[in-house]
Amino acid sequence: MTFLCTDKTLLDDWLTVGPVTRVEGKTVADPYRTKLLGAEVAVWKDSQGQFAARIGAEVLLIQKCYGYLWICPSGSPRKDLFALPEYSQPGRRIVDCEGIGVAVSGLRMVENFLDMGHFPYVHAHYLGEVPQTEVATYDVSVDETADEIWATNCRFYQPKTSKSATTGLDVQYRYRVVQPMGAVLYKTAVPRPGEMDAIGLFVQPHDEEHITAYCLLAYYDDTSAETDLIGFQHTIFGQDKPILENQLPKRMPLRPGTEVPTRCDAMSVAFRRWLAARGTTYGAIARDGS
Amino acid sequence: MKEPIGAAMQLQTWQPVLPSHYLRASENIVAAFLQGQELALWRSEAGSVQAWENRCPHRGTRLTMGRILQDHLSCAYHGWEFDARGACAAIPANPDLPLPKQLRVKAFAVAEAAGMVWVAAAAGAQAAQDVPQEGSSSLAFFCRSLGIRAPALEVANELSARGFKADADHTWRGTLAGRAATVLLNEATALSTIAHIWLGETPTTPELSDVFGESRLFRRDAEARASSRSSS
Repeated sequence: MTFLCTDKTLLDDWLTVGPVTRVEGKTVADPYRTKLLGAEVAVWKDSQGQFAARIGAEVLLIQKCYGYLWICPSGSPRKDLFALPEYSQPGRRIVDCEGIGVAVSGLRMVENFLDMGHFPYVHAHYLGEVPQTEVATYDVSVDETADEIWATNCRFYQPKTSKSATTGLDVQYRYRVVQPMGAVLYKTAVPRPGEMDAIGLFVQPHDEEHITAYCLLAYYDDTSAETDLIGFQHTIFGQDKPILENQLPKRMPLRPGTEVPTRCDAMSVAFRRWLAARGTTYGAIARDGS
Repeated sequence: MKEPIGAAMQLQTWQPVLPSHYLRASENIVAAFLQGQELALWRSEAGSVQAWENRCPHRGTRLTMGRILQDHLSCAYHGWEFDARGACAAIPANPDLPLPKQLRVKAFAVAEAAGMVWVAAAAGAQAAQDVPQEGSSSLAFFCRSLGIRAPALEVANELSARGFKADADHTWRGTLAGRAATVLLNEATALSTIAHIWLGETPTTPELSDVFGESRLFRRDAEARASSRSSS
């Protein structure tokens, strides 16, 4: 048994296999089984309380972080797992929204997460509303040191930005691509307008065209019920799912001109360029068509 | 680049993809299939049928997910609009930017004849020369479109075995459960065919039920031909 993936950038990355809750009570004799990069992996907690994972008979490098389990498929990570300081910041409430299965390339899922232009159409009455469809110009920058992409100075009018929003708001956003299969967004915290809530998207690629999209909240919200916060996120992801499952081709084309962007797609364009430059091809159609 | 004449002729073959009455002016979008190509069909306010690649040029979303707004097709993902000539007519996220003039959906040539929408496989093909002429008294009642997991050739063989005669391109005439029937064959992919079935007269409900039963047997036998061919 081996990973069905030749993309070194993903093999050397940290990929999630879900929240630790999926593995609680699982043992080497009866492990949690899940699919990653086309292969079945087994994950369990050993008698010392340490998480462990195997592909076939081969032991895998695994770590627990942010309440999630992360595997480095090659065993030689090119860098540490991305930083998410908001996870342990005092005053924030951590809510794991678990995952939703989507028949889509992980890259198209991440691109959707970075996109404001679809709010009034896919998330009508929640994250956007016609005729307020304009995406104001924002800034995109690549953090070469951290190997991340940022979109800053983003804003969008939202009728109901979160569970605790009772009225429409001009919401500030910042987006951060932390790895090809993961991103974090920061948006105005409704109960604390000076602060920003954080939402992490962690994608588990089962194969090039099937994923589970996990969502983790680090919110300033002491009043909403946990089930309501989770339900809100699942409503949003459930609205994206049929759109994502109806994109053709399934894998994301990286050659410029195959799909035509506009000005508000600056983050998407930077994401695709960054993927092409670092050689990420899993879930993509490379510039040479492969 | 010059194409060999034979190949060009083959590409221009017209195929019946949908009964005309399925498309209501400036209202609905229907998926259709043509030799592996997925199509989005809709009818403009002026009545002309559009046959487009089922894919928004922006982010690849199936256009059949969208809706018709004031004679434009609006994509479900970002609301990009395309007019009845296939040109991009609105990008709502950037309302103040001039629209890219070259930006259009890929459109296929369309004709309406004999109760059906006909599409040519070659994008931008010339006006229909070889689409069957109107005047089909045999097309009184549309029965159903039947998806069959068999190549068009095998479906044609099965029709022939059932006494149907080829009348024109893709058009077969015979009887189903004793009722005069016309079957129009649409090569959806290399391995699947859609048979559009018409009756010469409006049937009673029991008669229609018999035709449905017979058409299911026709499908079963056509699929059996294809599977015995592929397993031998």
